[in-house]
This record gives sequence, structure tokens and C-alpha cells, in this order.
Amino acid sequence: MMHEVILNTVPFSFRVTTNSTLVINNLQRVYGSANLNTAPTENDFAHYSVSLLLQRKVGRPWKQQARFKCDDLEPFLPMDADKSYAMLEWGLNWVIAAHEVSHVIVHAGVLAKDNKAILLPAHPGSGKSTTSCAFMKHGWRLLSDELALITPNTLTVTPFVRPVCLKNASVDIVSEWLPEQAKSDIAPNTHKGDVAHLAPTEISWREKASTASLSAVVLPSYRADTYCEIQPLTHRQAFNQIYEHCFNIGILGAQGFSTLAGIADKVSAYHITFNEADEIVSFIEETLAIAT
Amino acid sequence: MNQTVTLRDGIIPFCFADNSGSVFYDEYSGDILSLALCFSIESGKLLITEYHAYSIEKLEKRGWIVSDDA
Repeated sequence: MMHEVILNTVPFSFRVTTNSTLVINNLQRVYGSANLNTAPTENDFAHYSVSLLLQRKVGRPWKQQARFKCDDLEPFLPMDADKSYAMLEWGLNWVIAAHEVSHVIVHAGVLAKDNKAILLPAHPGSGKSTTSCAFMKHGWRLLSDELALITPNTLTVTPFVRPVCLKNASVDIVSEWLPEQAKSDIAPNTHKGDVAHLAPTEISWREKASTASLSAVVLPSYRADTYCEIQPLTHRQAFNQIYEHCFNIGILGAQGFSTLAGIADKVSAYHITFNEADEIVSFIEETLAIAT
Repeated sequence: MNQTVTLRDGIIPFCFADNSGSVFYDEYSGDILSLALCFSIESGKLLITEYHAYSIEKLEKRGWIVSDDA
């Protein structure tokens, strides 16, 4: 059976067409009814139209595979049907990273408290999402787990609140930290391992339209065998790191360059090696003089 | 020793306030160069105050600067 829903995320909305019950069930569970229009009409607006369709696999017709498309573009190879919800989430990330030009986009988590935002640019596997959840556990609101949307030539970050992608052992760890947050079914054996998507906290949804101002950049690096080690970065080191994780500086050109340079020059940056994410939260709250 | 250079058209310089260096952006190619080099801008020219020789060489090799002191 074919379903059509509109995902009313801010600042972008998505019309999602799917025949996957797994996708529909997980969208309802993770986004909740407040963010999901399950009976859209043709006149209801959405910024992007995407589809996640299950089809019989060529050569193995007894198995279904999931295919993600946006306006007939298919950015990923098909995946097994049990990964369809994770594939949709990754697809939505791709849509914005590939099309959005009014913001500088950095591959990073962003969280805020008292309007002070921290940017967590990081490579996959560095513990970015787990760190984001540690901040949420301490009352910070999530602006994004994947895509920081920065207004050009400012420190302003626009929220793009969506679920946090947890991998492998972090699924159970974070479930203990945030037991009330809804969680998607686990997509097994993806290229990132076993992954599940966790719903943002209530304050994150409630303030999904409130911008925040960047106050610190933290490059988290998880290592099980180490104590917390904090290394301040020079402005130039900070620029190099943020630039490395920027998706669209090539499109924005000089405007993107001056935005990243401005952030690096005005905001304190740290590389933090950790095995206990709470220590990063304590350090940042102390540094930014945020009441706990 | 200070050195004065002229930037090629389309090169945007940015010197960081903590004296850790600077970054340069080529508007035409989109290339970015991050260097251990500090400067101030005087009369549209770069007055380079702190640098490693290889930083100047990198800019010269790309044709992004012309030295006024040569």
C-alpha cells in the first residue's frame, strides 16, 4: 500500500511517498503527530518531494530492496528493506546538503542552551552523535545532529531538528541516558553498523524555530582507553577543521569563506579526546558560564 | 623583517586575530590556502609581519602575490 505524508520539519518540509510500513511506523514514532501530516492534500506545501520505495530485487525476486529518490535523482545504491527508514533519514540529509544554498552547511552536531550554541564538527565514528545526546541529557536543545545551517557572515545557526543517528554500542548507552525518547527500529548491518534514530528531546522540538548564536566549536574524539584531554585550537586550526567539514563552500564562494573565517576568529575552539561524554558537557558549561 | 606584497586580483586574504596565521581564498578557482603568516593591510597591499619562508613561496608559486620588495 502506498502512503504519502508531509514531514513538517523547520526550515524545510518534505513530502514523502513510500510503500514501506517500516518507514511509516518509524516516522510516526520518532517525529510524532505534531511534525507529521499523515493526510496531506495536493495543495499542502512541501519544499522537497522524495520517495522511498520497496521493490523486488533483480535476480532475487523473493527479497525486497529500498530505493530512495528525490525528483528522479537516486543518490544511493539500493539497500535491503530492513534499512529503509535509515535510508530515508540519510536521503533527507543528502537532499539538504546537495540543494541548500542560503546557508553555509557544516557536517556537525549543533546544540544550544541559553541561546549559546556549540558546533560539533566531526568525522564519522568520532562520537559526535553520542556527544550530542550527552548534551541533550543535560538540558541542551538539539538544533541538528548532522547539518549545521549557518547564516552567511554571522554566528547564527538555524535549527534543523531531526532524529539523532546512533550506531552500535551507543544505541544502548544513549537509551539509558534518555529513556523517554522514542527510538526507531534498528537497521542492522549498514555501512555504519547497526543504527537507530533517536527522537530529539521535547525542548528541541518546542524551540525548533529558534535560532542560536555560535559560542564554541568542539571537535570530539572518542577513545575508550583515555581520560578527558582538552586541547585549545588556534583560530587557524579551527578554520581548517570547520572548512574540512563544510559541504557547500564551493557553491557559496567568498561568502562561505568569510563566514567560516569569521567563526574561527570569534569563537573558541577545542579538540577534546574523551571516554566520558559528560566531561565535555561540564567543561563547556563552565567555559561558557552556563548555569547547570 | 617585514615584506610588502601585492595580491593578485580575486585573492581574498583573512588574517586571524590570535596571530596563528591566515587563510587565502581564490575567487576564480575556489582554492583555499591556510598559512602560518600574519599581515596587515596598508594601502591595498599586504604588509607581511610574521611568516615562514615557505608560506611566501606557496603564495608565489600559485601566482597569488607579487613581491614589491624584490
